[in-house]
Amino acid sequence: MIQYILRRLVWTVVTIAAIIAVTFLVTYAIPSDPARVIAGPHATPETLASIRAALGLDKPLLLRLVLYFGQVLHGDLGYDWVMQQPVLSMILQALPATVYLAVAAVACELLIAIPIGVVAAVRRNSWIDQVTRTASLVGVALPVYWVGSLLLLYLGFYAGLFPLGGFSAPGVVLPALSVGLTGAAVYVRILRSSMLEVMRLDYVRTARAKGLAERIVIWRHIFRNALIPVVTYLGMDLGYLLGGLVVTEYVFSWPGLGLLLNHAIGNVDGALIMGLTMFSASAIVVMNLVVDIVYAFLDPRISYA
Amino acid sequence: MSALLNVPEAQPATELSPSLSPWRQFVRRFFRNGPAVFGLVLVVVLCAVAILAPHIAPLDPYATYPDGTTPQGLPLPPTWRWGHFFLGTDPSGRDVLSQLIWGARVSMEVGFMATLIAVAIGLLIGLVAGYAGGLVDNVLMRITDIVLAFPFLLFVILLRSVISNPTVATVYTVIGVLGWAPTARITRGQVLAAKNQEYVEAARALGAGTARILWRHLLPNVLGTVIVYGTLQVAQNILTESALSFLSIGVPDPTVSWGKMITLGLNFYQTAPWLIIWPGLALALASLGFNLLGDGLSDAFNPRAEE
Repeated sequence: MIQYILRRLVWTVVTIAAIIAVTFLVTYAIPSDPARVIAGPHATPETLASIRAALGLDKPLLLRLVLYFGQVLHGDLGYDWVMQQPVLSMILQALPATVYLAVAAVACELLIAIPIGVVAAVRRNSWIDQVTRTASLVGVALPVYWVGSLLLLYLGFYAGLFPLGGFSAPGVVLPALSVGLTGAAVYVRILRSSMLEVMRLDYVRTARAKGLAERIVIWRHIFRNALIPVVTYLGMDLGYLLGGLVVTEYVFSWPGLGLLLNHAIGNVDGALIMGLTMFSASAIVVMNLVVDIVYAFLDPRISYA
Repeated sequence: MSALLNVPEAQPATELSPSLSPWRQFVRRFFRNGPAVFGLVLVVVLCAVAILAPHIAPLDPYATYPDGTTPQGLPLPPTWRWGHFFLGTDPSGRDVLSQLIWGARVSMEVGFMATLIAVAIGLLIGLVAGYAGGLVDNVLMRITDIVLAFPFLLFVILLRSVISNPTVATVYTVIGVLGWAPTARITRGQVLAAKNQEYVEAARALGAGTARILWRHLLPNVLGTVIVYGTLQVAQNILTESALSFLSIGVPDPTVSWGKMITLGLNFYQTAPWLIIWPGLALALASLGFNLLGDGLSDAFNPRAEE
């Protein structure tokens, strides 16, 4: 067990190092020069050169990469000369809104997926099952920002039920629902097939044979064990979820990391794009690690060898 | 028909006569699957629309028509009259239907090209890793694991945003170059399963070289699975392109893209809701078509894999 955790830990560190290196090397090509941003358009070449030297931009690429690693290890993601703020402080400012939306979105996904998945499996091949299968095929195909726009149009604007954007408690409903409606489809499919698999097992027959109510068999015996692949997918899904949040936050002007990334793209702000990508990618890798470890504790069948 | 094919009465309809070639069995299974056929039809129609765009678009998608807006400068709602702003106009007086038809070109081009690039890289890495084994396999698969751990859309955005003069080719190259990892994983698994089978040994005994074994014997075996995954990936790549265009870092102006149309529509949704409805519907149908086709191909390739 400890060996398993250690191996996952080492692997996580390697992945994060790769993320830092790739983001740095890619961003090195970005067509924005911090020296020019600081000095303004009328600076002399000498001024620019001295600012570049002060920022260490004149050093060789490999050395800068090594220095950058050191910087990141000290929790410094660099200074954003476009926004005149440290990158990390901007990220930390936007982070709570994204976490809030992400939690609400996952809750939406599960609230939609669990009842539908269970009913589809229990009433297999009934009309409910057929409708569900069609709906989940359609759900996967829908662009999340389009669903968001439609919710904004119909539930926000025409029906006036929710705010048309911005950060507020009722304002989280529509963006979370957009991610939930499109994301739930995969969970429905996974839960349904895993329920069907568990239903065939002997212990379920035993539970029925000893006279337990069908409701108890379904929820206590089948559902709980069928949840394992759902939890696995929850961990794998984080990267995809983040992608959905980036576009959804843009639709609803939700002041999280996605909206920040949009500003960064608009300003061709290399430092911020780089910091955001690195921070979010690393966060996802770490969360995957956490999910794997929790999972190893929960499911004794996993081999740690 | 059944007498011709020698199918005994007692057999259920899904059982196929062993006298049919595997290819014919595959075709029959595919065409008996309603959703799969629907997906195929959607894909064929979209490809036709993309190819024939200059001939079927009723108006010029880039032209700003003076009669395309109201005297107050507002966009026109759908008129349902062909050639007269059938699906309405945008705030500059451009025809939405014609833009939609031309937008299919970008979606299809990026969807297919990005997938081709991803599949080509993934096949190469997967074949080499699976066949070589040992250290080569280990190194290649660790790299694949790292790429799989990257959040896809974020890295597409990062890589795309550092390229200053983008073309449509930039967009599909970026999506393709970052999307090979799943194909590599799948290909390697299939190669591992196939490489120790007797026919490969027989080919080796007959003196076939590594390249020949890979190309003639292993590639055809992994192709089925890769085609299924590739078809699903086309759908994903179409959505990725539209998301990039939606975030204004997709295909460059003035090229029409469904994602860009939705961005524009979002600015006018309160007065001109049709601007977001049509391009989104087109995107959903395109992605649904490829998803259904991929699922159908998968079912037809593996008849026993039920759910």
